[in-house]
Amino acid sequence: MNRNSQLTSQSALQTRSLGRVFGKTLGPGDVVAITGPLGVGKTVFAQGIADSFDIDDNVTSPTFTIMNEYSGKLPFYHLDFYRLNSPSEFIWLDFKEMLDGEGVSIIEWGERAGDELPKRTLRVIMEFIDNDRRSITITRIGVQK
Amino acid sequence: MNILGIETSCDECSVAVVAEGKTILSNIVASQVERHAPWNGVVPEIASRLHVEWIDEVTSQALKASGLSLETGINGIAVTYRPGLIGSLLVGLSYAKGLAWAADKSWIGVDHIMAHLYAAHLENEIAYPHLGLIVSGGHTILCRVESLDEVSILGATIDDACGEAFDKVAKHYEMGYPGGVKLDALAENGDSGAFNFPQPRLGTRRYDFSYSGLKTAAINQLEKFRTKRTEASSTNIAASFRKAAIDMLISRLKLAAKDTGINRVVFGGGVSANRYLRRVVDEDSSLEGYFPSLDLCVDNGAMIAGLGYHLLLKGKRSPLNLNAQARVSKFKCPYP
Repeated sequence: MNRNSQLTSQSALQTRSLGRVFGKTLGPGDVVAITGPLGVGKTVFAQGIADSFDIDDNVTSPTFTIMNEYSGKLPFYHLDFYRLNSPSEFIWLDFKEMLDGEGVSIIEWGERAGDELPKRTLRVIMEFIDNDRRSITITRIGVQK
Repeated sequence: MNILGIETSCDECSVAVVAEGKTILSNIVASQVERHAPWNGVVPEIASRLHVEWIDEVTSQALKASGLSLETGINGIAVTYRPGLIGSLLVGLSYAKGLAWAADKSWIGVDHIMAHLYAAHLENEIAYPHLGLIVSGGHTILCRVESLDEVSILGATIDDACGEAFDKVAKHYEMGYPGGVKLDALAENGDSGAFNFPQPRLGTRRYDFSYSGLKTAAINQLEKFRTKRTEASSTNIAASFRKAAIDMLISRLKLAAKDTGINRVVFGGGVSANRYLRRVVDEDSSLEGYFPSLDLCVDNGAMIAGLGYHLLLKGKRSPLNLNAQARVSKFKCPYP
């Protein structure tokens, strides 16, 4: 999978498979921000990425705790900024040290961190096409604000 | 033996004094609900800052209401150390350590889920083993409880927590905050047959839950699941969603009761205040349900003190380097 891709998923199952394929392109220090409305499948895509790192645990929604940490082939950080209201909270939460570590960080609602995410961040934009289908666009954060 | 219990895992700053693990001498809950209402959800930064501001005063009030002094009346301290919001947990945990150190008291870190399972025991005599269903904004856990510190997890959510789905649907339809409570109230006047929302098919994971599909259906696919009978009013959406969400809990629970032969069930967590859930369980003669009273369903210091009493009595102690944990990893069978 190219890191600048425009994909279409026909189902939740396929969204997870696409996440798995995309996950295989990721390595230590990579940060992925997933953007899209409620119910579009952000967590499902993140679960697919987790599959590619052999995470030996249920990857569930991190909305409540903001961040869940898992171990697999690499440390796997699953974050959710749904409940953050401004980039200043992101600074306060002190995630930068973690993002710069050896793990892979997947951030749902990542756009809420504004310009605080590193420049190397990959952005996954998910949109509804209809009830079942979703468009998934992958870009570098610097390419599209 | 009087135990001081401290709970700050999310947005309730609560301190209680409980005697012999049973008698609640005081249970002060300073709720942050109003502070988070403008954002329709708990804001972690606000939560931990308010805990810092409030914990000392809440502790003083709990001691005063109990009529006991820390120095002479309190025999031990119990505090939640996991799971929850890390910043919030750290406030209570650090405060408890400081208090225990300064006053030279025994202390113990308590697991929040185990404490919720204990809450109904504060008010009832419930024999072990029993089933447990802990459902809140952060947790959806079905378990078999052998004793107060021996639990095996039968099922849990594979995506969103039940209460999280309530909150997100309520937020989307601007039903008010806290979302789950407002949705439950609206649902009382709605037609639960207005939408025939789907139940997840999880194959062999017979005790697990999934709420993301239901959330998506209720937020994005209303027309697809609409029965022709009635209009798409917020009361009808609330009633149909609530029925689907709670029926999922009930179906897993009945399956577990049948498989284990245990029909005693202890409920806990914010969603156990849900009116429809309580009605269904009360009317079902195959289940013997124990619900904590409403102030013990939500996060509270009394359940921490209650469970802490038994752990301390067994001689358990926590080291001063005990750290807070946001989540319990690989918690399936047995927990922790």
